[in-house]
Amino acid sequence: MAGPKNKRFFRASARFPHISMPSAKVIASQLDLTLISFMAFPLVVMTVFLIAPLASTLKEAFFYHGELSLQWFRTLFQSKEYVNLQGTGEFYYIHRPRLAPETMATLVIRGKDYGIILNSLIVATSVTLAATTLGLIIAFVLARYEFPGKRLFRILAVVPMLVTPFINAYVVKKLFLEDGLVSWLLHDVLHILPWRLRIEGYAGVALAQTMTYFPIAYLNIYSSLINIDPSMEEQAENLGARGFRLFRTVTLPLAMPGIAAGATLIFIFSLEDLGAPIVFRGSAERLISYKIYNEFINMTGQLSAEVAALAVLLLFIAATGFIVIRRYVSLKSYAMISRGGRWKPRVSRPGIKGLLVIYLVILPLIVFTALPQFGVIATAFSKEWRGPLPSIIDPKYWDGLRPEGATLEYMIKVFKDPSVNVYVINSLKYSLAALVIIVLVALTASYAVSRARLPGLSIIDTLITLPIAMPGLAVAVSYVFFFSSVFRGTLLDPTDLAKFNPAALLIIAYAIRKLPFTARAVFAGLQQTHVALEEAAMNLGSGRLRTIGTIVLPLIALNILSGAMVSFIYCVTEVSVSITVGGIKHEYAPLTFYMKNAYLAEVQAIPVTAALGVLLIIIQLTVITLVTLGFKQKYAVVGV
Amino acid sequence: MESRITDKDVTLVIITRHDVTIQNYVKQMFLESEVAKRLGIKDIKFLQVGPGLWAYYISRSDIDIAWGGGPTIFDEILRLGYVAPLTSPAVLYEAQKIPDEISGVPMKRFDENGNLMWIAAAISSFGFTVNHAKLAEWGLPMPQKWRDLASIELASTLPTPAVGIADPTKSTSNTRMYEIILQAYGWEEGWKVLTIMSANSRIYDASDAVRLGVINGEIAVGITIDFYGYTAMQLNPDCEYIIPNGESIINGDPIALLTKSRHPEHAQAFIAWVLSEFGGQQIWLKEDVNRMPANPRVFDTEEGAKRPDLKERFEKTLDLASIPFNDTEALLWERAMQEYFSAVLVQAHSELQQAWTKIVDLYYSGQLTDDQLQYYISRLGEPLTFVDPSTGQTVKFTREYAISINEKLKTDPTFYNAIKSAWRDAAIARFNEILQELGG
Repeated sequence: MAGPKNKRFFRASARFPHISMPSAKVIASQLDLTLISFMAFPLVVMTVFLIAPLASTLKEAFFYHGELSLQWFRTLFQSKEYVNLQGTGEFYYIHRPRLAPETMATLVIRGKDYGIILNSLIVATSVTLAATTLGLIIAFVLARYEFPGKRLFRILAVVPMLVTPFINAYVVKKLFLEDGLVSWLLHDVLHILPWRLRIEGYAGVALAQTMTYFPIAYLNIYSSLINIDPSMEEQAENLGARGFRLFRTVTLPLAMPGIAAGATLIFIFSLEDLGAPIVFRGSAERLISYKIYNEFINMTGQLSAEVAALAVLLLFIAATGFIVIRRYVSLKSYAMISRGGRWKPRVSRPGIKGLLVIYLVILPLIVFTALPQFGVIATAFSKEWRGPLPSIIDPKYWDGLRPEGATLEYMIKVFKDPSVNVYVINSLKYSLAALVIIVLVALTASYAVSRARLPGLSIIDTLITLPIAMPGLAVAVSYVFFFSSVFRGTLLDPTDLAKFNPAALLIIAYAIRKLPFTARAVFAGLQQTHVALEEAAMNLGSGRLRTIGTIVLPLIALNILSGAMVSFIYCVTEVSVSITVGGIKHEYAPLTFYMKNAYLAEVQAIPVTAALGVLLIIIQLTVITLVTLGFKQKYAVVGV
Repeated sequence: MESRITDKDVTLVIITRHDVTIQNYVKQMFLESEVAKRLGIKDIKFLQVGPGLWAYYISRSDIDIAWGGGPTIFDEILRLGYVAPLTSPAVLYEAQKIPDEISGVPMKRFDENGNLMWIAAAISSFGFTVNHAKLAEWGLPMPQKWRDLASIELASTLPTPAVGIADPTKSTSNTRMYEIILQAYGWEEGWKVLTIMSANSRIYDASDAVRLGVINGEIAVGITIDFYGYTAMQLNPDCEYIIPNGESIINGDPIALLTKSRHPEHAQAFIAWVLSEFGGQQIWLKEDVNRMPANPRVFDTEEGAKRPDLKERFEKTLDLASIPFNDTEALLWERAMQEYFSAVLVQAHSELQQAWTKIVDLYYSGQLTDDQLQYYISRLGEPLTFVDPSTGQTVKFTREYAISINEKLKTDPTFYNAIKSAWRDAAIARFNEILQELGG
């Protein structure tokens, strides 16, 4: 392995591959069968399973009676169901039952309804702003201040990253019912609110998403902040900038790449999220994601062209958000000398006032955002949850030291009941199969990009990172159009309900969607491995394939393994494709589909869904521990 | 493939609307039964799909049995020629134990040659489940009739809805309840009741979600099939299932043999087991199932004696005064009703509820008289007049019109999409117009 000094050098050269672009002769001499196939394989996979499906959706959306047309989009924008500038309903109101004046009034916050398209934009924008602001504040405090308990803060702040589909949004909904914990605290205990409180509808969706996605902003901004060259701020201070002015004019602009990366992802994740809209259904159906999902539920044969148009719109909004935020950043990007180095970070000890703010404002905020995950665990081990607290922690249920409200019934069911664990097994099978594709594509693509110095290779790089910014629902819709036309009447055809088996489509969709996590880890590994080691082997007569097998693979094995494990987690917890395409045939459905169905359909099944959430948490914690402590690798932070 | 009773290692495929709880009991109990072992039936595969997909699945795969989901869906697959007559002596023997009619509602369907085509394996009634705590909290009267769900009293909590209903395109039980309402009050009046009921409601996308809403106290009343109500009562003692006075009907919940069955003999043995008081009928008695058996003799078995509560409810259900319900009539316009309901009262629900909330506000603040209230109810609920996308003519959604487009909705996707958009847009326009008139 190259020493630390060399490592930095190679990173820099990889970032600027155009610096020494080789001549045609050198290119030709480099190309061998292995390298060509390493370039071709990811290109073919991504073209067939990502680009072609998207193209078939575009065709569906932009053709009307055989002619190129914007008719389907016109239909969308002309209907008040999709766009309604006046809005219906009230953003909030005080609910006083007219026939029961003695009943305590409730403040209901639900958000106005501006039609499907505008609602999605408003929710995604609000979530992006709120989550990014929250992430920025917490990242700044944690990056710049040293105080007792900081480690705990850092752990708590990433708890919301533990994915527990549906059930975490359910906990948020529970917390904000009129007899829920928040209303009870603010109204009954602290008497801050003169009414009880309920948050539902689009406001509920935005709240649940903000709590779930803020760590994406926090992690990205945190890593930006600790990478800021301290000399930049020191110079500003020498020139007289202090306090908020220093933050606004120097620190914030320098942290912009992290802020933008986080914000972009949050915007896209919010736009395509189905967990919160499904949980808040009954008051928040008019969202693009829910509309597309709903069309899948009612699917009899082919999806309508209107859905294709909607998926294209979703893709367009996500891409626009992506480009706008990225463009804004590149305009605002500032060069730093010796960026990425390890220096003594600017960390200070806060005064008494600062400590008060940290413990009385920041800590409650972080704890609050972690509540859904704790709520999921509590629900899984509680006999019931009526009123503010689940029975396992409700003092009313305690008999001395015995928690009468606790139960292991649901956890046992997850492991023992075949009608539940068949879905766990399905998901594990699909995810492991997807991993095979992921590792092959990630390895070949990263190797080609980092070792072949050819013009135009960045297209491979773009193709394999693209899926991270691609709404899963757009992939789901595309797969229906693509596979039903190219593989008509086979078991890959989702519109042939009798023959269809979703396994193959799920495996491919998981592989494509979750590829970037492994690709990034492998690429990082290759960058850290000195190419001279391979050159030496090849000079001594070893072929490229053999060199890769004997030199490269052993050196980057840990990178591959840790990247694959992270991809694996995201496969198992995948929602968009799993509950749409994956739900067409129930018996082959994956875990997240079962969680959705159980949550929606069976009254007694909510704690079982929570128990599955606990299972997912356990899997995720295991992977994180292995990757960071066992393999000493950096856990792939979600970032663009 | 020709079936032989001697076939071993048989897997029966059943298309069903029954939930996983029931499916698991069936697998557990049937596969361990004598008859399953003797006939070599080693597994049962359930295909649980939405009502709209039944015909599609049955036409394309070799399914042995259809079970559960109410008579309408069975009459539909019968009409399409997918149902085979029940002929085995065992089935006919068990069938004798089940009355031909209960309260005037057929429990068996025969074809013109007198063949038994489907038979009820369970019965159910329809009504609403109330949450007494929530009714008290909101000061709401206890609803007794379907019409009460569309009352101005139940509207008094708006904009927080007190009632819960489900989209009929996703729920066969809710479909049946809307059909009962349309037949009990007549087409025009029925749609007014449905419209205001919907305006009073939170709309869920499945009937079980409605039940969950009542149990959690999100709503005070939800329309449910009886066994959902009984389960709700077990999970939350504040809940009670109410059968609307003189306005309910009993449904037989059928089981049938399908023409494409590869093992008709084995399938009929299964059906006989389901109908027997010593076999499948005992599943209805389970604490987490709570359904009314079609074969009353199950209450005389050892297991049956343990559920006197269920027996009492069963007898009460049989004593119901019910409305004369016409299955054939319902089938004529069922699809049109479902889609119209879903476009006008579900997709345009936001606008409907906003206009209705405005009316309710004005009424309770004394700015609308009772007559004016009735006038606006009529305007909101009268079946829509709109432009038919296939003819370009302006038409009203009358019963006759609904019948005339019922089949076309199933076979012509372009027409289906176009008319649903037309309904939705006309509905939004109407609700917004009323709102503006009232100064909203």
